[in-house]
Amino acid sequence: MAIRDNLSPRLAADPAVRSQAAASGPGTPPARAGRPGAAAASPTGRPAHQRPDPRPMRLAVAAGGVAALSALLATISTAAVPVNAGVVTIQKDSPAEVAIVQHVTRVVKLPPGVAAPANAGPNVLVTQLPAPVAKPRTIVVTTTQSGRLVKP
Amino acid sequence: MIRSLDLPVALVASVVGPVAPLSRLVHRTRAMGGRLEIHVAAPAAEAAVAEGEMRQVAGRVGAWAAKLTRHDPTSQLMRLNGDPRPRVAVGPTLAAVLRWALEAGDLTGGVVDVSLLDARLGAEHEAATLPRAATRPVSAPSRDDRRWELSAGGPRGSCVVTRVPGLRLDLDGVAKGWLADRALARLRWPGALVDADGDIAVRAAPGEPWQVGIGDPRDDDVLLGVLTLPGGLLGARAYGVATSGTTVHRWGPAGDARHHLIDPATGMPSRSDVLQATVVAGTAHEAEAYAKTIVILGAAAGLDLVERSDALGAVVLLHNGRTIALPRTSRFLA
Repeated sequence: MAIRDNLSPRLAADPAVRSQAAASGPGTPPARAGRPGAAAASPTGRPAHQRPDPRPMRLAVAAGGVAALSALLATISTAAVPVNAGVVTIQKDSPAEVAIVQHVTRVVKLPPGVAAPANAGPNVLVTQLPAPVAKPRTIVVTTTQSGRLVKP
Repeated sequence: MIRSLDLPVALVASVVGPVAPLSRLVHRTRAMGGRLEIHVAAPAAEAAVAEGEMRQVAGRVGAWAAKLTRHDPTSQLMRLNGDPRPRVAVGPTLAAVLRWALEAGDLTGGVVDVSLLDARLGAEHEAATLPRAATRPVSAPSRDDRRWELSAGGPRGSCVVTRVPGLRLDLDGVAKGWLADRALARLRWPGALVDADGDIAVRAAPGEPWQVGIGDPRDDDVLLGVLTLPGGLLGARAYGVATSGTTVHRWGPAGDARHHLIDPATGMPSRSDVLQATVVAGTAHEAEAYAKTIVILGAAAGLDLVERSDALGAVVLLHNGRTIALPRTSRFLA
């Protein structure tokens, strides 16, 4: 079987060209004679520059394209659907976050002539404070109702 | 080598705050019919300058209060109240407080209402002069009869109050917090505090927190709690703390006492379950408005309104002796 059908008889006879063509495998475009950098023997007999194999670069470009496309799709899908949509996160180790007040709106349908219960109304979660504390010495000021005398 | 560090240290100090320890100075006087205390955290080397500034600011508070009081017939407020014309030009200080009064009404759903002076005086008069069996509800003017507005267009750029002739306004419920904030703005020190008779404006420098006690109206020797108000990480932080309640300004016999907090819905002193409310907010005038709102509306509706606001916390003493607080207050409670 001929190495390359489209090799010129002169190049096909050249051992250097034959070895390169054999190494490049099927599907590789042949080097053109006379073009700078072509795998042809120079007139001085020195080995000519060999063109690098383009397949690794093609594979790298294709892989990069696939990666970029994947990243683009991932970004679009993330933006379209928030990760935490519908989820309320409460950090239990943070007092400020725990202090979220839950509003409970109670709707009661009262028949005519029936009054609302005494405790009806908006509910707010509150914290029970401990017993009053003795006045420490570090207190600078005390907030009071206006007009109230404050012991120093 | 040492000189090469000067610039970074100066930059850090300008951002983080003063490196030198601050001295705490205080100026005490009386104004607005109550106490006025000005506290400053200033570098020790500038103590004399700070004391001079505190005296100057105290003088300014006295001058502002003299324009806003209803206890002096020559004040700007009382001249407005006594003017029979429907449109009256007012000075800039009175206009600024009236503007805030309108805003406070919007913030609190109309609970803070400065047009209830006659209802308040009526409650006081009835409780003082009539026997208990003869007390009757005070007939407050209707909302339509209490409408007023503030607009530009007065002489020399002043503002004009337009209201039903005879309507009298009362700034007791909104002026002290406003005065405290305005005084604080005039103090240029990294840490400062103005106590305007219980309504307190605070500026806390980084690393220099202020502690504010919450007075217990039942016992002068104890506190309901202690609020610790810290500075920000990179700069000063402002707060307002105010307390409102029904135990100080009371008249009439025990069991049927009247007080000064008029519910605009009824024209009567409020009869809620709240004895006293303290609110922490970004400013003293907001804290004052919200504290008053809790007392008038009661714990459930009042705390619900405050919880939905920008207020930072609230501590409420109920008539049944319980002390409750919005959970967000816990970061300030020691």
